[in-house]
Amino acid sequence: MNQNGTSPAPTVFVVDDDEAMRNSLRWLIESVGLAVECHDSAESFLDSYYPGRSGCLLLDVRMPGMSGLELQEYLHRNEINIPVIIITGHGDVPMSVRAMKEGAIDFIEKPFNDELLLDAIRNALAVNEKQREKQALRAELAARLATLTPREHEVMEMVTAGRSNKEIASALGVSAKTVEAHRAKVMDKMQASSLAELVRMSMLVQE
Amino acid sequence: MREPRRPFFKNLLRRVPMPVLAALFGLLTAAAVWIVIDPIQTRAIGNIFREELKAQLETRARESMLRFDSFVQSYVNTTRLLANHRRMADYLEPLVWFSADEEPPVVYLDRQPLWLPASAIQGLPVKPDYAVLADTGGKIREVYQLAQRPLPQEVEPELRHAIASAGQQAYITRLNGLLYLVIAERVEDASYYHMGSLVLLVPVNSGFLDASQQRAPDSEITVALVDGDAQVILAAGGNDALLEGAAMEGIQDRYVATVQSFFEYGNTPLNLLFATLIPRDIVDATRSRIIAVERRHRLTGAAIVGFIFVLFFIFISNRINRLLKRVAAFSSRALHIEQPTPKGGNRLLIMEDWIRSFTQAVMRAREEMRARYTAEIEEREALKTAVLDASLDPIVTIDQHGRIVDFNPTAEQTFGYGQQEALGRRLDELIFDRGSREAFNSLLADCLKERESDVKPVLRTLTARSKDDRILPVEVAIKPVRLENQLLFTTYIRDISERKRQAKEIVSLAAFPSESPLPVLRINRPGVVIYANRASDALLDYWGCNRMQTVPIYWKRVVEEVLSTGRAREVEVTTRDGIFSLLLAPVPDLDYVNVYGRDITAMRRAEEEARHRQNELIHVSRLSTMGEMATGIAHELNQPLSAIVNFANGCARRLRLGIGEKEELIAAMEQIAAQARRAGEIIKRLRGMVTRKQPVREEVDLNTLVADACTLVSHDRKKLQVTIESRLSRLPVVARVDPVQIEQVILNLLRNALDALEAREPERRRLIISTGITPDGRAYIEVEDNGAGIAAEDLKHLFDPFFTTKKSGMGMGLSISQTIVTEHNGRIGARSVPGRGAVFTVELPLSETAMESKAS
Repeated sequence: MNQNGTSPAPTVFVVDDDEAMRNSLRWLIESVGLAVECHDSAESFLDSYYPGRSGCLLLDVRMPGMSGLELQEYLHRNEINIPVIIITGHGDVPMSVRAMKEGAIDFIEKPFNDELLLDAIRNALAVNEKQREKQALRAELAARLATLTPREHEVMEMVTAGRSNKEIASALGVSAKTVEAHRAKVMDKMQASSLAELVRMSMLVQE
Repeated sequence: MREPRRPFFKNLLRRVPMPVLAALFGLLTAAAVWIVIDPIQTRAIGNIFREELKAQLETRARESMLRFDSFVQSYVNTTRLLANHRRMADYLEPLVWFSADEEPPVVYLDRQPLWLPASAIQGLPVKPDYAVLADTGGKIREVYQLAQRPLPQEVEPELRHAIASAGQQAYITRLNGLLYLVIAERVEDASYYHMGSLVLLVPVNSGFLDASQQRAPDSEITVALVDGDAQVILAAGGNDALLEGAAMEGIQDRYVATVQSFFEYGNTPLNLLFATLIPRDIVDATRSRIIAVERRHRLTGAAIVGFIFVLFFIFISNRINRLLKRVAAFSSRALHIEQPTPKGGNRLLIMEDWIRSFTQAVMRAREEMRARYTAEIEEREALKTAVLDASLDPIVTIDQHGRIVDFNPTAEQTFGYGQQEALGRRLDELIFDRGSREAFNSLLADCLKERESDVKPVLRTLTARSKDDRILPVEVAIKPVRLENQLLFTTYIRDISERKRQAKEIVSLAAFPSESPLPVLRINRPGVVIYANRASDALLDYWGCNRMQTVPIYWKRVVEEVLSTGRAREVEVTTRDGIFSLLLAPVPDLDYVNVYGRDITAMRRAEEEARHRQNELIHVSRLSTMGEMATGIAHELNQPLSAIVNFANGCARRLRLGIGEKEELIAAMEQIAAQARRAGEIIKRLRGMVTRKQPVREEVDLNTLVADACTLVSHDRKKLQVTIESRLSRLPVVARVDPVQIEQVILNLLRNALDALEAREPERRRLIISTGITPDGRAYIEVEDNGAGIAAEDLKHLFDPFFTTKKSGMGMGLSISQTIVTEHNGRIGARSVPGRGAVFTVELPLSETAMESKAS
């Protein structure tokens, strides 16, 4: 899995420019025994965050400097997968919609219903856990993929694309037998027990 | 000196000052008198002296004689004492002389006989030559010899004679060529038994005579005994022994002698005389001394008289001098005769000359004056005639019967009568009709009654009639002229028809302001309403004063100020009946102020209405702004509310689970309270902007207003991700404004700027707001953005109502901002470079206190 190892306790990151809001959120979230880390700006959050930390992000959309949406975009671009819960004020609906489109898993309106907020956080943490597992699998597959020779790589792409051995042989200008041999090698290296599994692995890697 | 040929002597006399002259004259006179009087006086004094001397000498002689007598008497007394002395009695008692005894007498030479007391002889001033004791028969028995020579024999008979007359009288006799005083006394016992006689023989010599006079050696008086028959001096006192034996004639030239008979001692053949001698040179010296003293007295007296005489002349001279000066001053002042006052010299002579020339000068001056006076009279007469002729008023001279004596050309013109025609006729009948005639005559009578000293022309308005029957209103003044033998009246008649017409015109002109429907007043410097037309009643009511009364103090000051500055001033007054604008126009020459009122009630009401509308509009605009900002503000409010909810929920959960420290719970509760307050603040600010208030003016720091406005737009600015750069003045910028309205302006500018920034990429948006004081001392607020800017075309219409470049909005924001700023005596302006941004500037006057603190 991750080289840095997984932190056993997930952290709720709160990014809001309003101090009272940060403090009150910390106060509320800590009441259910979760760790809370507060940041007054997106920049401050990015400075202290490194990919792989488990947790979720509670983000105010409207902030001076880098806004919530921009931060979301940045994370997305840099393939940092941390579940984002958007905090919105009354009437910020269009902005919330944009945030959801960008991949926020939830949005919550001020003032908060504490149950809703805490549920959303729990949910996000669960998602993050799953994401982290998936991430670990993908890394494994990528490692296996790296052991393939270029010819084996070509063969695997073609196999997962649903091509027959014959078609592959004519395409590559080799005998069917050779293709058969490469295919067996690929299955072996990728530790796939069936073609269906290989196809799923290939899809996972390409996501 | 106008007389050059003055004799030398007189000239000299003039030069000599009078006191000197007086002194000289006095001296000369005194000398003359002295020369005449001195010998006479001296002779008279000599005579008096001689008479006096004679009397003196006789007195002296008598005195000398008396002294001689008493001296002799003292010897007699001594002799009697000795004769009756106890010693004598004791000596003679047992002694018996026998008459038959032819014994020579016992002579004591060196010792004193027992019958004399020890000191008896020694005490006498002149010792006797011999003391002789004789028996009862007269025979000399004992002799005490004090002289050198023994008692000569031949004196016996003489002694006998003396003894015979013992106790009778002492006498002087010549014994043996010497003069002796012989004193004989009987010696008797207690029962008057005759026991003998004592005879003293005392030499009468110069010592005796001197002692008799108790004479000092240097006394000038000498006594002498003279043989009356031979006229020879027998004995004399004094030191001049030469006198003895001298003949009386021989000494006449040296002595003044007074001779007295000496009969008491003269029962001898000797004819003795007693002479008193005074040396002639002493008498002469005394006489000349007396004369000298008398002469000195006379001289002193004369000198005093002379001195007083001179003083008197100095005094007289000074008086004359002063008189001359006074006359000269008077003559120069009153008669213009310059006559210099002489400085020195003989006043009397000078005065004489001076008065002579002065009289001549006076005569000349009188002549000149008479000539001048005559010329003047002639001139004046000519002038008078010219005046009369040229006078614009008719002047008619009449005599005491009212007949015309003189009729000047103007009178001819005015009344239409020629002079020839008028002369000799009665003035009253000629030009006055019946009514005025009586008035004129009574005026004439009044004029006569007036005393001459206080004659003033009496003025009366009458009606005259000209030859062509025109009625003329005239003013008549009569002045009596009293000549020596005649009484004339100068009658001045003034045609006043033109003046009357002018007066009427002025009266009708004066009616102008009174007809004015607007207030017209006139107030003098002390604030008294001199004139006020009927339309001014409302103002007078307001002032609470009436015509000819004083206006209130404030208005008095305004009037004074207008008068002293000389500049008209417009003042507004709101009375019960309306609002007046008063123009106070000073009339400095006459020291009053004309006040012209204008009823501006309707105008002010309209203005008031407009202002009201404007406030309404400003308020509505503000409301709409707030409406537009509602979302943002609601969000702003949501922040603290959310925090509160979070804190409260967190607390509830902890409490429910029984976790959480007490301190942290309390801290959370405090957070809740703080956030609730924060929400309250926002609402308060919001309410301030929304509530409709009357416009006010208070001193506010513009920095505070800017900060408040920034809070209100914080949501919008967050939405646009704009940071407002505040460049506020570090010192307060205090202006006297309506805070809500100015905040509204700032808000408008901020929102415009934010709107303008929307088009620009978020990271390049800039909004700067700054405050401060301009170099010319005005407060400013500047809002700068780097939005799209404003097209030059649009800049012109920026502040027009309903002008907008935005899709939403009414286009009232800037227009209303301008209205507000103008109401505050401020200015709003915009400048822009299209594509690069815009700057909006608001300038407001600083409050007075801020100005002062800035100045200091």
